[in-house]
Amino acid sequence: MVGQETAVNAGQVDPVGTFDPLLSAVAPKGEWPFYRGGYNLWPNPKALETARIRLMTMGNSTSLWPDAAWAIELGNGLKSQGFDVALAHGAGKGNSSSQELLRVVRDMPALKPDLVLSLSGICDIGYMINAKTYPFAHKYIRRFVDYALEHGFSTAATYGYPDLASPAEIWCRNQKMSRALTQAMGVDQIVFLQPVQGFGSYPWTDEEKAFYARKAEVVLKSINKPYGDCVVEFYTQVRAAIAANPDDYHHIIDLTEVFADCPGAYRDHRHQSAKGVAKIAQQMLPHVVAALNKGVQANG
Amino acid sequence: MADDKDPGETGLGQSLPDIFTKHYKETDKIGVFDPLLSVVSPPSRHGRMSGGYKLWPEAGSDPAKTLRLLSYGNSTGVWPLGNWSELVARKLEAKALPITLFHGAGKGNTSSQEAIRILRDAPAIRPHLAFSLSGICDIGYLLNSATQPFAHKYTRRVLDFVRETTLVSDVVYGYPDTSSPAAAWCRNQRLARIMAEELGFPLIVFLQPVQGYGTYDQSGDEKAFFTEKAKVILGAAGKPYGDCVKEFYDEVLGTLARNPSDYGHIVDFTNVFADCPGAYRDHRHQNDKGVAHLAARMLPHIEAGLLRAGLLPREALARRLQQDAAAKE
Repeated sequence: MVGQETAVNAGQVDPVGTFDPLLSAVAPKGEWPFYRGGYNLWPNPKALETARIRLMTMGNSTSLWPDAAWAIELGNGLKSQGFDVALAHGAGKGNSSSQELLRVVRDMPALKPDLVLSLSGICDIGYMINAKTYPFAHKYIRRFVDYALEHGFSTAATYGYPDLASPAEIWCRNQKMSRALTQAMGVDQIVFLQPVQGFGSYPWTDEEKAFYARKAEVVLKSINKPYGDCVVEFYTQVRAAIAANPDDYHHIIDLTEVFADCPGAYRDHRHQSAKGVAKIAQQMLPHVVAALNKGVQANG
Repeated sequence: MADDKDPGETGLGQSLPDIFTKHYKETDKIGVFDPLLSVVSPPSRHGRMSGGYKLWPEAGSDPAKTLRLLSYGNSTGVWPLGNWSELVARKLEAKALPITLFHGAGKGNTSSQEAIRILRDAPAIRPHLAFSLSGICDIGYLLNSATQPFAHKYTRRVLDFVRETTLVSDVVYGYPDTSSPAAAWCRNQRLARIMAEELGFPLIVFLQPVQGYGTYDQSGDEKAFFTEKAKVILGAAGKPYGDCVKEFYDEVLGTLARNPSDYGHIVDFTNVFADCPGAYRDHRHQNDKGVAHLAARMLPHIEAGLLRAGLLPREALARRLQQDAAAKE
């Protein structure tokens, strides 16, 4: 098998693209001119060094620029309120709370932000992306490891000690751990529990409803349940955990009802349209302003 | 800040066997690969493994009914030669404590990989206490790259192979970090402690001894051997190995002294062989005598940690295990 071409890398129907060994797929350099270590820098690298407020923002495919640039809209909203702000934005398709936590441990100390923000939730449902019992083994990382194994580059692979926690437990634990780390480093953090079709109120069209109904029936193999059931189960458990332990999770803002009055917010069952992205940024803004004002007060 | 362009080009057009040959190193094989940690120790002859961890005792114990210890380290902690944690566990077991030890180690594992073990594996293992032997692998960007302290050399080697194929289009390693090796080590240990506290268990990090730092009665042969090694220039740091060792340990100990509340979980072992000549099998790795000495010196710190956590004496542990079982139900 050594060095032989095999079927593993035939997965070009779902190309990995730009790969980060800790995080799996991350946003490519793309058309945004300022890119460093997997992060898009806004408005530019110099501003990131000199701005009074530096944000670290992160998310999954619902945060990929240019289609889902809520971070830029948020940045512009902050500027319009007089904040001298710049941000480093990291996102990747399928990035879950595990990858977010790794970003905090690895990248936050180098970025030195004042505030960490994320839009998170859907990628943790039903072991859809990370392996069941291995919540840090992202599907693209597994593909990369399989490739190295098939070609004889390594003799065996392991993904850490098996973890039997449910998707919602893992999401909550990762977010709680993340907050402990940011707090200890003197950084504020807000996690926005992201909206998704199939949970919460949304005035969907018949066409959206029909499309979602088909998607909801798809059985997620790792957990052997329909996608729609996994969405409901995950969000219900997460919200219950947050309600039961408000002190642990007060850094989490529930956005699952954010589109209750915003028809046409989606471009598919998970990803927002331009209208939806703008609405998310608009809803985030007061929370971010409050956090920044609190930080200013705390720091005199 | 300049635009980030990782070195290396996609070598499309080269044959896969050529790319493989270019990056594969027969003399330094990767073995068991953990994508987040790089290389981890193979099972070898150990009979009880799970997820890259060796579990002791091999005969099997129900972890839920025992004191669970998590230990980890670098090549100086790879079993069977570097089995200081097994020796500690045996000493505790001899005091009639039921034990399950989970031990993970890998050649060249640094504080970055240690932090990931706490972040990823500790929630599943649920240790009552964790301890590590750490330090030397962080010096002079010996293993992790100069501006990317989580980019281990073995991971980079696999990525260098993969990036030249069609599997990925580009590779990144995170936002560049200009911290010194000592600053990265201290930060990782601090973050590891915060995570351990969040998960509810104490962490003890033993700053490991190494030739070239601290008090040790080197033999003539050892001195000559170390002198040769000390001259070797570490490519990423552009400095001799001996200078990197001294610089790293000086800076770490200076940071610990200035910030005792952040680093109260770190025990300085750099002088642990002051009264133990013949402790090494090379300039970094301990022999059987050195490993036994390490375990003997670790034991009181671990017992004190268990006592502070209400896990000693035996009756206290029994109560805690009963509480754990009740909470699980």
